[in-house]
Amino acid sequence: MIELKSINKSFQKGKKQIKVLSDFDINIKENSFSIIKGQSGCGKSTLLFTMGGLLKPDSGEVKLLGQDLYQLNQSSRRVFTAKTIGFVFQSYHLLSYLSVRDNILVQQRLSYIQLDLDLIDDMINELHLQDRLNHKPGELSAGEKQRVALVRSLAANPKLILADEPTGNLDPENSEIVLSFLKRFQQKGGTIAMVSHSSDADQMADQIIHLKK
Amino acid sequence: MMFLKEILHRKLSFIFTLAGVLAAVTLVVSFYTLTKATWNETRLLTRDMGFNLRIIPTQTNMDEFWINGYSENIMPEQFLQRLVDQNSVNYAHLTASLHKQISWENQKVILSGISPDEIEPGGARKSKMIFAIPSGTVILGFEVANKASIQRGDSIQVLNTAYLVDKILAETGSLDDIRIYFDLNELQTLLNMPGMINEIMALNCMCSTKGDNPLETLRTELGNIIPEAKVVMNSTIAVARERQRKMGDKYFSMLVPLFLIICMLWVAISILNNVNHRLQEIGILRALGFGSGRIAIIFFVRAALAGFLGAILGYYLGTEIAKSFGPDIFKVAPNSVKELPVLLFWSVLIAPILACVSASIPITWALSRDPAVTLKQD
Repeated sequence: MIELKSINKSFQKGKKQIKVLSDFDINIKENSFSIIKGQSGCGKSTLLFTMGGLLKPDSGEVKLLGQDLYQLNQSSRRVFTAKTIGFVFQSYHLLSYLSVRDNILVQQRLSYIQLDLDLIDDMINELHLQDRLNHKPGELSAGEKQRVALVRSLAANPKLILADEPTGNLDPENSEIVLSFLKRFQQKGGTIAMVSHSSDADQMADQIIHLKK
Repeated sequence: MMFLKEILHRKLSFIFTLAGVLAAVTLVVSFYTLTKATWNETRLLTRDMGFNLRIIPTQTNMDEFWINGYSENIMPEQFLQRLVDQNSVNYAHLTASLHKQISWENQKVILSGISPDEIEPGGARKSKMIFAIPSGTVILGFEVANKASIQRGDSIQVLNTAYLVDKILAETGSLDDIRIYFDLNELQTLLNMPGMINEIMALNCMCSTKGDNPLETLRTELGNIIPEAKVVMNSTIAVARERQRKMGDKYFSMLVPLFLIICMLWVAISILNNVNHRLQEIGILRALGFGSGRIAIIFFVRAALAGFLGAILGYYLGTEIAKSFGPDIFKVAPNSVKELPVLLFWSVLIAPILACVSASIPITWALSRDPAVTLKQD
């Protein structure tokens, strides 16, 4: 599904150069559930954003469905990743001024994205959001916000979900809802790469990748 | 309509941006409206100060001219027509006149014949600076009437012709106090000088050129049109006139750009504040597949809307401010502050553009931020 070869990525902090990923290789198979673990600052999120086409590595190759992402120009990469990848973040990143419904359907504004409205309705019902559709994110609980973010990430029917600590701000009950939902996505043929600190999802994972500082 | 929902959600932020545009348009509109009114008031004030140009025959002996108060030489009245025939010339309020000093009732007086028609080059007609003298009547200067104990309505004899005194002028402290004013045609007949004048009175308008030396410009211009005549200028009046005209222009040209720069900075800061709060939103929109252009439009439409609303509100507010303060500022022409609808057109056209220009730097900065960095800032 996604293959990273000889990835190098470093950041400049003042005069100091911090190497985050060094000659990093990884292969995530289609229809798998991979968990990326490691200490804070070891480059988990950097890896996730690099896989998602949002952060160009200094060197190396990122192949998604056989396509080298960073060989594409910015516009083609944007279209390709928007159709293929769904993102879920620890702090949800919902648009505060839009209702739940508008947040879920925000990609409807992009001509090249076809949203599956039936699938979206099913997910809304499954995650018990039907009574919250006209609410703004500020009126939702943390668990509800993350459920909205989950539906949004799957609205365009992507093949891959990249999740950056999606249960980091949630109580155990809501963490369970989120993880179960992701597991069902995998069972329907989807692929998941998830950054996590906790071991709650370890038993669901097909592979656990440990990053070292 | 994402931008409308965002505006309603962050009303204060939008109001702050709108206030910047509103302040700019209000200040420019009120300042321009008042400056325009200043021009009108200056025109009226200087017009009331009298003619400042005297076009006289070339051969006039200037010693005698200044001692007598008029030229002893004469020229045909048709010379005036040559100036009138010009499309663009720096002379206005052209008035033909004839003057002659005589002894009358044991005093020296100047008989002054004034044309009833004030003519403008190019045929334009302006409000009159002179008073009309009805046929068969005269107007007396203060000293003439005072010395001969003449009242308004009295009949007097001048060069064996009877005239009714139509008016007695107030004391001016100038040669005008010893004048007897006639209709030009009547005085030409009385002096047996048909079709002849010895002066064309005028006002310099500097309407076709804006030179540093107006007198030189006027002399060159007149030399080309009426080589048989020369012009003298009352520089006190002219300087006052120019000074007041330039003062309005100077303040407008200095203060308006300053206002605009301050207000554009204000708008830029308010937009910077808005985009700074929305960096993560920009990051997630990118992650969802929105391109830079698409995201930029959301912000530019917001800025343009602030510009548009600010232009309309600013126009009406600026006009109202000018109208409110106008009568207190302009005592001579309190009604000279007039609404200038053309400013609404220009405000609506320019304010959204300037708002977008102000917004362009913060928007470009925000779009250049790496979405991975902004999304990681949890």
